[in-house]
Amino acid sequence: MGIPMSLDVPGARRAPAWALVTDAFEVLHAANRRFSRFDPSSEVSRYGRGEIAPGEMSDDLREVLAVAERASADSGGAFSVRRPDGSLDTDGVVKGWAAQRAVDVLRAGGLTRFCLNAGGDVAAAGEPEPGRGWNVGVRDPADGRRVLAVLEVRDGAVATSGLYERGNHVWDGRTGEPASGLVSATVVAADLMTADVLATTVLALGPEGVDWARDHGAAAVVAVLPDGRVTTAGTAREDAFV
Amino acid sequence: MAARPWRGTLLYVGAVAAMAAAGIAKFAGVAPEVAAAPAAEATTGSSGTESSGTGSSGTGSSGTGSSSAAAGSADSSGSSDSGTTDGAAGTDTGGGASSSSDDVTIVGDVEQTRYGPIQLSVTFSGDTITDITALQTPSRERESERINQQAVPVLTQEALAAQSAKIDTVSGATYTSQGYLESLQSAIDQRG
Repeated sequence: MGIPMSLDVPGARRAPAWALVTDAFEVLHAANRRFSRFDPSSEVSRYGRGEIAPGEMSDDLREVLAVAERASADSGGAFSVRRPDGSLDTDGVVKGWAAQRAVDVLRAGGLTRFCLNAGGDVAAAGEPEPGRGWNVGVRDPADGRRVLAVLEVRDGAVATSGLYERGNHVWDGRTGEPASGLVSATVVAADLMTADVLATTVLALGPEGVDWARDHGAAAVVAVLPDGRVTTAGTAREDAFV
Repeated sequence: MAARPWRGTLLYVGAVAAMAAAGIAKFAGVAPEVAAAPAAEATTGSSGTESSGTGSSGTGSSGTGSSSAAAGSADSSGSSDSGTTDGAAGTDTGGGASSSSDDVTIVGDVEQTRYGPIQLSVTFSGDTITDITALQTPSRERESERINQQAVPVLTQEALAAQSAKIDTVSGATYTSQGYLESLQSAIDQRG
């Protein structure tokens, strides 16, 4: 199991950046240990089996569950960390939460210009070169080789949730049915956790989620309908589309 | 003696909480035709533009240089699920028949994944990667064969897109294989 993480740090000295990246990476490792659904001894697995009392939860688990609860309430139940079979699945929150923690490590270490891509979740800071922000492509869900839009981001995060693969992994928590109104949702927000949770929620909500997300922290949304049409909200401009 | 400022892209692979395993399983299969390309084929039409950022990560994890077979013997029938490197003759990778001195094709190390071996052939024009071909991809999960047809091109797109002057990175719902990036990294490291 692995998530590719690429980091672009313009103008930085290699050694200090390297040390920070190692620390950031350790944050992701730690999150994996705690939240792996596939490790029966992870905290989330034990919690799912009812083996952890509320008072015994780690701060991280408590925080992730709180975020999940809030996201579920905000979306009328469309976002849920409970799969249709009732099992607990915190992946939708942990992915962005852990990546944002990694970004926080970089910022705390003094980096102000960087672009991190952790498995498709992007955090951009500063400008890669004077006068322009980071250009973040949005993958075309119909063709992995193509980019269907380019979003310019200076200090923000971009996350995408999509039904690229045959097996659907996003459910509408309100109905228990697989999400089908959109094939892809990309959200730009201030931080990766927000962007990631919102992207997943927009996918779960369907087309109505595109405008909904703007009232819940999304600076911009780019979504693709099953027929291939693209719908947007927020600051994405028409000329951003390639 | 000031250290040279570094602008580049580090490629990492790591385990992240709970997000990838199900997705990875879907990307672990192979499309038989993907693995057919021979290793030592020089690409044509390389623009020869100067490197714009992926280039050498200089991670210091110098490739072990152990099992980089140039044979391109990608067994994709689904029968070889021993996870060992089939046909890994251990011969020198070599750049193959490059038509120009700047075009080099390097075969990355065979990386073992849970689902089988993965090995990439990476073509450089100067410091720029112009092509990535999968020589070996995992073949265990037959159900995921069709899915993996997308997975390798998607990964290639990301590696290539990162070099584009217009696009710095790509956001997508991607779950990618650890082995892919390690093989890519080893090719970059060998390039130096």
